[in-house]
Amino acid sequence: MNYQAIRAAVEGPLLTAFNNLSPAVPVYFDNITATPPNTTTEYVRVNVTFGITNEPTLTSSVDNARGAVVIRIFTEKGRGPARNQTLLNTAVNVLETLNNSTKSTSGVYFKVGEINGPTFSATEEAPHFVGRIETSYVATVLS
Amino acid sequence: MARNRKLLNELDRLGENLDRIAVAAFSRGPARAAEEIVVDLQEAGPVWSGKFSNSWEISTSDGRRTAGTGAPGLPRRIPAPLLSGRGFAFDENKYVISNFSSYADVARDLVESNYIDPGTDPIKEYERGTRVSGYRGDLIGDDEGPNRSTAPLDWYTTYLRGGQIDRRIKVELDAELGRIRL
Repeated sequence: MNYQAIRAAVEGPLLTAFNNLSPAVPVYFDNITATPPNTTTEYVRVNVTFGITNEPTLTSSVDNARGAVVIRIFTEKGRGPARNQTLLNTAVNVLETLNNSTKSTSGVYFKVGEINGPTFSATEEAPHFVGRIETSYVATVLS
Repeated sequence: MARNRKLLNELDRLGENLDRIAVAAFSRGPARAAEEIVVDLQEAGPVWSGKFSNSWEISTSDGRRTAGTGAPGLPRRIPAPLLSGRGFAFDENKYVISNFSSYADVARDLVESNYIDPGTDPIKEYERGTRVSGYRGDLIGDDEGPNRSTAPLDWYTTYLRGGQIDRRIKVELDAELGRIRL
């Protein structure tokens, strides 16, 4: 099982999409320190988790995994939801594009399920307004 | 003629018995699955005082409900209420599993919060780290840092979306069907 390839299949396109924005928005993945607390700088957190690996009934391939992708968008608090939703659009577009890919003979075939959210939250102390979406995925390692 | 009628009556009775057995199995299966899902959630989720783990509840579409005590302590198993025949036959969502603790969304990493370390050790094993955002499990660090967490970030979403809940339902339904003896 190539967990790194599965992770890269979703992290790569998200990183590219947010880097291509003007100005670029930093994206932080699992086990990477994000912007220090108490700054209002906007940023994106992407967490990829793994659930079941090699579920026999999933596909004929034994190299498959299921899991979740959670994307949190942190934007400045007190300025309305517009900016946050604009960045959420970027994330959702990437996830939808992943589903348009066709199965080839090598690499990782990655499909996401329904997207849950966005849900929004903000706390008194934290400087950010947070938008959160989550989805399931099924990935098959083909090579 | 009389012999044929007797045979037909026996076939009718067999059909009724099969129906009853099938309904019982299909009704007990989801109940068992709901109970085991709560156990899975208790094992996967955070357990500091135990209040959150003991605040799961299982309700049926026809209004029956069983719930944990909401009290601190080791997580306790909750028996699921059995569905009524009407609920089994007509309701699409047969069981709802929810958590009634006031900080359920925080514990499930769905919203941010502020945290005060109570200074006591949690019931469950914990990891140390430095909290990056206001999300409960968002810690970074090689088991070193001022913050503690008893469950990884997004444990709840992973259980729901990563296939474990589907597998649990399948396992319990298969087990219940396997108990049928004709």
